[in-house]
Amino acid sequence: MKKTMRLIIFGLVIISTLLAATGCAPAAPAAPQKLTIWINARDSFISPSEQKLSQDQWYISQAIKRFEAANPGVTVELVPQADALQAHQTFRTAGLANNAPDIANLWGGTFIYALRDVEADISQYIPAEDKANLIGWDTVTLDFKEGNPIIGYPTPDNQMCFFLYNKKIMTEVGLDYENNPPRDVETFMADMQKIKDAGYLPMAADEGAGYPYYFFYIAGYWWVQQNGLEPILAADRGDAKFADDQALIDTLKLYNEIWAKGYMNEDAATSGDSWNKFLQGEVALFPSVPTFVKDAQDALGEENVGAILPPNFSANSKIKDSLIGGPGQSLVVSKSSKNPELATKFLSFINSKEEVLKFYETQTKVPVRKDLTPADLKLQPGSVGDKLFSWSKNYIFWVDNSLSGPVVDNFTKLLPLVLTGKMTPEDFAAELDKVKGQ
Amino acid sequence: MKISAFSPFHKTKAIHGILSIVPVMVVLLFIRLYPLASSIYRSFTNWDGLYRNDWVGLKNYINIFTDSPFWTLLRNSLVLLLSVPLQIIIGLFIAVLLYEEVKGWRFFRTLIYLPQIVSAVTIGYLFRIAFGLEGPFNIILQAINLGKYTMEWLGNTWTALAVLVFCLTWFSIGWQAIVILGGMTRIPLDVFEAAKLDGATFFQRTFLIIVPMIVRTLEYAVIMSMVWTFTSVFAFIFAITNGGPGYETTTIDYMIYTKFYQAGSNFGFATALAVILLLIIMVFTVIEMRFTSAASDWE
Repeated sequence: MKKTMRLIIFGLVIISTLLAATGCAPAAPAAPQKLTIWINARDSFISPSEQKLSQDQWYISQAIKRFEAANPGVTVELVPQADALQAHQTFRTAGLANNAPDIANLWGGTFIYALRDVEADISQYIPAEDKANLIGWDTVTLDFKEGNPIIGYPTPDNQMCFFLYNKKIMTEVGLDYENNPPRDVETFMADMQKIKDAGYLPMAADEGAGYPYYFFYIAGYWWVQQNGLEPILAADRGDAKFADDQALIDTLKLYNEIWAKGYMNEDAATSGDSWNKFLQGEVALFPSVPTFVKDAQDALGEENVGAILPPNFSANSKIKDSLIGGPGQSLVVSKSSKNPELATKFLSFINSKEEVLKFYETQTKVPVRKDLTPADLKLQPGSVGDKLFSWSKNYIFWVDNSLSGPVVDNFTKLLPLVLTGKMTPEDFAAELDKVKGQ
Repeated sequence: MKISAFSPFHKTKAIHGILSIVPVMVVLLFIRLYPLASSIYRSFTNWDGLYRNDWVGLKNYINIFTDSPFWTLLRNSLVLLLSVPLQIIIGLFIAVLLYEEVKGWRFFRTLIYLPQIVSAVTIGYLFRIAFGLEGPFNIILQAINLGKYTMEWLGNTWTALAVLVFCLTWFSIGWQAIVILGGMTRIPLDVFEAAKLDGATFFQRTFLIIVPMIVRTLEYAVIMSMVWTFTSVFAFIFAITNGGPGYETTTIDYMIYTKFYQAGSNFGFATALAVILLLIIMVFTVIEMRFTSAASDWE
């Protein structure tokens, strides 16, 4: 009996020792995982002022370090893409070769829908909390249709298009844009003449340097606000004619008139340095997005930089007191990714409340998170950031992100000719009709 | 003893010869013929660079000739070809000066070749700045009381094309001079010395002695420059005019590139454009070769 008891006790000791040893053994190290991410180096996570710093000082590099620390065994390689537009085609080619990055920062809407064959459906990996707290899901859901596959996240910034202005020049000219901004085109044009008469250049833009920012930021709003986006999309699909779109023709006429009257730099069709002219205090207004606010404030002084909404095109416009904007950029996951779930986890991390707050310490932007207030972002009432925040509640989604590639391409190439009066708005519209519906 | 062409010796030699070139031929066929054949096939499809690849017949070609700015592109490519004779003539003069070892010729030989080792994009941006509305060229015009001629050089079709022709010529004369100088080493020195002793002027020596004796070198230089101008000036155009205003300085090869890189791009359309460019280059090459063959009858 004693022998049996000894055997039982001995057996129990052995078993408990083995169990204890198993319990105390260090967990097997997680298999190393790597994510590669392409980031647009112009106007997304990397602000113009950050571009002067070394890469490890950028917000996005530091966010990656925090993600790596929170996820042992995971490394994230950051690859900045110098040309945001070309990045789409590079991503497509890489996808075809099955060596695309796990995540790519591309322009949302039609730009990423055209790449659907190389993008992964991440719908099932997105936490419910993110779906509830972020806006802009439609811009990363195929064809803007709810229920279709979701191929990425919107970037954490809700870009708005507005005019930055130099308060010092405005004061000198006798215009008070803080309290009395122009709300219609007639007043706006009269103000431009006043600024011109005072010896300043009213506006500056680089419409032929790759992308006509002035048009798509400001004039695009005049176009859409007249009848809404749907008639434009109908023409793009081939169901209507751009040549019959009187809103487009009228907008283009105003676009040309601004240049012809000398309210815009004479070399707007060929220049590439208008932003520097604004920073040097030579220009009164500059069509802008939030990415550039901080740099303007650094160069001209915070007290000298203001922001206004574009004026309304006419009293009969369907949409008024709005602006172009919304989550125009996205972070998509590629089909080449070996770990789309981890990639989605990174996207969720970068859009978390804590990260977004850190991001906004480096750039004056409007978040896509619904649960952030101006107080959370430490925005002073009446500041540029505060104005942007209030404007972000009422925007029209980007026209260029809604049109098809061939139409945008023709638009971009031919607009400088319309601006400088070398092509009529009617001929321009006819050229768009040649490539619609593709 | 006469050895028959079909003797075992010749057969073995022929087999060895064929076997020795087979690996190279296979590689060449793969890297040259396959992409060419593939491009021709794709030009008849609506290939989107990925998986859409439906046969569309002549649709891409019809679109190119009817609904695209093809004729403007062709005009621009032909205008840029004007830089080829300019390069050849200036390069020829420089080569003769170097051949005659003018004072400081070693320094000038390095100097004229310098643009070739600078990045095309860098050169392009320098030209863009130089011919900008507030650029050095207009400033110089104002400084020498020619202010009325200042203009937006890159904003008008013909002046923008002229700037591009100037840039391509400036970039290439060094290469042309070195190639021509290489060809001139074939000319016996005594021919040149005799001409000098007989009192031939610089222009007589250049055009009556040197040019006829280096026709094959000039042929090579012209064909290479022509093909380069048709296919490889993208970086210059991108940096100087971005193909604008509108499509006014866009060339066929520039359009091929932009069609590949636009969102929702139609690669079939771009490859059709590439096939047309190939045919244009072939036509120009044949004409040029026939012309130089006639010019070198003395050989």
